[in-house]
Amino acid sequence: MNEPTIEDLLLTMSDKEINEVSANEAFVTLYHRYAKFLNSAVIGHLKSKSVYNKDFVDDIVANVFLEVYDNPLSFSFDEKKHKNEETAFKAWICTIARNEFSDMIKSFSRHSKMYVLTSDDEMPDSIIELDFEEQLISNNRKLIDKALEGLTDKERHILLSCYDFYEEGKNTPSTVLDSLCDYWGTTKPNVRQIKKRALDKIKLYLNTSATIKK
Amino acid sequence: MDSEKHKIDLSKVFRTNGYLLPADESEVEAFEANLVISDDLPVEWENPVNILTRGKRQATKLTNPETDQDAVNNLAMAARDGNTISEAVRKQMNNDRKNSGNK
Repeated sequence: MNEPTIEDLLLTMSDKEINEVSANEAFVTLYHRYAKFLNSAVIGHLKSKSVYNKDFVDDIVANVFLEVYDNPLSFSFDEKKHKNEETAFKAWICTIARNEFSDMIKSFSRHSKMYVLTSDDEMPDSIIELDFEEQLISNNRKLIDKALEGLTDKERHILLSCYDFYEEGKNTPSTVLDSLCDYWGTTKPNVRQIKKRALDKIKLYLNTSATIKK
Repeated sequence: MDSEKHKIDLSKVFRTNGYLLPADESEVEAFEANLVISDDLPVEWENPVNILTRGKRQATKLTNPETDQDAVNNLAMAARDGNTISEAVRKQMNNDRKNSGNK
């Protein structure tokens, strides 16, 4: 017998008020298929920022799957839009995880009432100019690792946190800056300076290593 | 050409290389090529239904030990067997601090 598709499982979950047992079984199946992926993705994400915490990872993963159970029909596979069901679903749960991060940051921030986008909270532009083509670094983890190793823990955490919530044409949410200020015991102007310094170091490292390769 | 500049989307580079969570299918594919599946299993692995019975979690706050003054204060209080600092001792501490600053 064929394994149920993701859509089959989500549909079964959506009937939880009629048949809770089947809905829960579908939930367990889906969880066992994708929880390792999400867990590893969140661990990698936090480790790259040097803020890994096992309890935090467990909270995020549990909340993501709870959201999937509560709103199973928010995901639908569209053959015209998606390449395949599994990667589309993984992208969806990663988006939920990012939203969870964002919500948690808001709840942590001492200044959460000030959740406004202000013009001076600008993100470093995601598009940068380098002396070589994107292919050289788009799948070159070793090179990026080296570039990030040249940053301090603080610089790496601040830069990656800002890019984490990057949306084209939008500024960094104040809550993200506030949480970084709280975490590092510093001020917004300092966070901006650190962000800029980190970006300059990355650019310098990447351009220098590209020059050596030429 | 040596001086030719190329525009690169750094946020995408971070997402596809596994530093940030991927945002779309093409990023998931690239991300998985670099993803190391952790040996650490999620805490509810043996009984995922616990997630449903427990409900939404308030996340553990990420704190930096270097700047977590509350934690420092709590440890200091624990060292005093849970007692607060008396007014006389606080005054003496402030005087000592002031005097050391004048040296």
